[in-house]
Amino acid sequence: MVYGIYQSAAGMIVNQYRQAVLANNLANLDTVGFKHDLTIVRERKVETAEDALSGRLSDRILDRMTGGSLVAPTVTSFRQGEIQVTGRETDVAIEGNGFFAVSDGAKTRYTRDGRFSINNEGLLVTAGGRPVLDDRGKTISVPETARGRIRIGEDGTVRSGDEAFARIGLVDFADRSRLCKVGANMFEAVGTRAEAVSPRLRTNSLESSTVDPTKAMVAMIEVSRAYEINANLVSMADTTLSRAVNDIGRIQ
Amino acid sequence: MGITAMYAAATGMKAMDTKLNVVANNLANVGTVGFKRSRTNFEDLMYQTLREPGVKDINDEPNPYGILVGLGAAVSGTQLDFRVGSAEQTDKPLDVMIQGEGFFQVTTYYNGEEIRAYTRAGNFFRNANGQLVLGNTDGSVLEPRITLGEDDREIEIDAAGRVSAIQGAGPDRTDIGQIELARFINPEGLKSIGQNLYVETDASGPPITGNPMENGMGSLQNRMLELSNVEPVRELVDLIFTQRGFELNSQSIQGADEMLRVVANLRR
Repeated sequence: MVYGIYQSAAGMIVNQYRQAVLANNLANLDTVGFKHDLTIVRERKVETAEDALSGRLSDRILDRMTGGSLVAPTVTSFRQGEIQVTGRETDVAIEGNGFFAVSDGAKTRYTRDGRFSINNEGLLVTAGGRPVLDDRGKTISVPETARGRIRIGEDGTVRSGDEAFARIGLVDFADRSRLCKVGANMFEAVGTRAEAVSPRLRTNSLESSTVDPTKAMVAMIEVSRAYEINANLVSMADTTLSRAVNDIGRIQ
Repeated sequence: MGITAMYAAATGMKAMDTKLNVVANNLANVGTVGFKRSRTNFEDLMYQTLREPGVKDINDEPNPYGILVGLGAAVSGTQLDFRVGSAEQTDKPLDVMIQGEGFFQVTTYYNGEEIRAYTRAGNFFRNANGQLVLGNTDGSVLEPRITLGEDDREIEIDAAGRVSAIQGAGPDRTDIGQIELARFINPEGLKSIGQNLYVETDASGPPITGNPMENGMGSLQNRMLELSNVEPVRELVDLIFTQRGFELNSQSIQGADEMLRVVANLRR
């Protein structure tokens, strides 16, 4: 009886988490290069199994059931976002796999957000003001004469007129699930190494957010109802307990 | 955590609201000479770590992936779009359009101080002292100053910025002044102060001045004006999308609210 109440409560907590993830996805509906998070739930093992006591069942009936649900580790979908033409010369979208490498303080971080501009020091920077790195991991300095008239080629070369003076580096990861979001449209690689890939860029364009509002809304309705059902089950367990305590156990 | 969802959605609504303001301003300036549209840039906010990557699971193996929940979106900045607007032939002798890079320099008053400001609008007039001034509310004076005499006729401004007129009986033309332009390493870093004017900031870098057609400056076109570079269709699509984004985020708040209501009614 009490067992069931905890399972239903776990169901509520998991759906709260899913709602939070969906809300964040929807909030980033219009964030360039945003990759949406999936709301994944996993089965929780029974307590004896979680305590590594398997083989010694403490309750023959309950231990054959599962322990309810738990939040699974965050999984980000890295599918390609739609490419939108903006007509701005230093807007770049990545077609297919890969990430731009940017220098964020002492760290190198990765992004799919290609809203580049030139800062007051003449460096090619992201919309957040972080320098973009070239294929050798160095920042890209735009020569004085080329400023205001740079063009970026599909292979990542940065040109002024016909002269190429840098090439934007593009990297990818063997295990992309190890990329952690750190905010400001950036990812940090945890325990995986960046490997250079040859760029396939679309210039004068941006990659839009991968959030699908229809799917998000449908998921949100489902979450809402699942939450209510679990809450009802908590209430029902409460009612049953109340019967047991107040009616059956009443001394007349 | 129902609360996390609510705040995340609220940040989304706030960001969409800002974008709506920017789009509305762009549309309001669809007929403003020399106006440059702005674009609203979004970014995702920080992520709350519910479980660090690397925590050991029941089989004593470090879990490679953590659980992270995002806290919403924010406006990272508004970015000016300096693409050239379309040209209009006006046939007014004091209208000038810059073809290519550069800004006209004017003197204006901002926060009670006299400062240098920059503009792409080239609708100049003569003020009571004969000086060339910009056709904005303040009548900002063009720098370096160009003063036209009372009997100057048939004023011409050539591609290189030389201002000439016929004085007295003529027919020879006399040079009266030279229009200089300024450009910036990062024009997108300029700050709009209204009245078609921009001022320099740390982000834009200091102005680089020079004559038209020299040093990367554009050339001048007399009797033409540069119109606003706002494309109404694009802005309207943006407007629709932003409006819907705002609504979708309000649905997240309603969903989270519903969940809180369920919790509040758990015990009857």
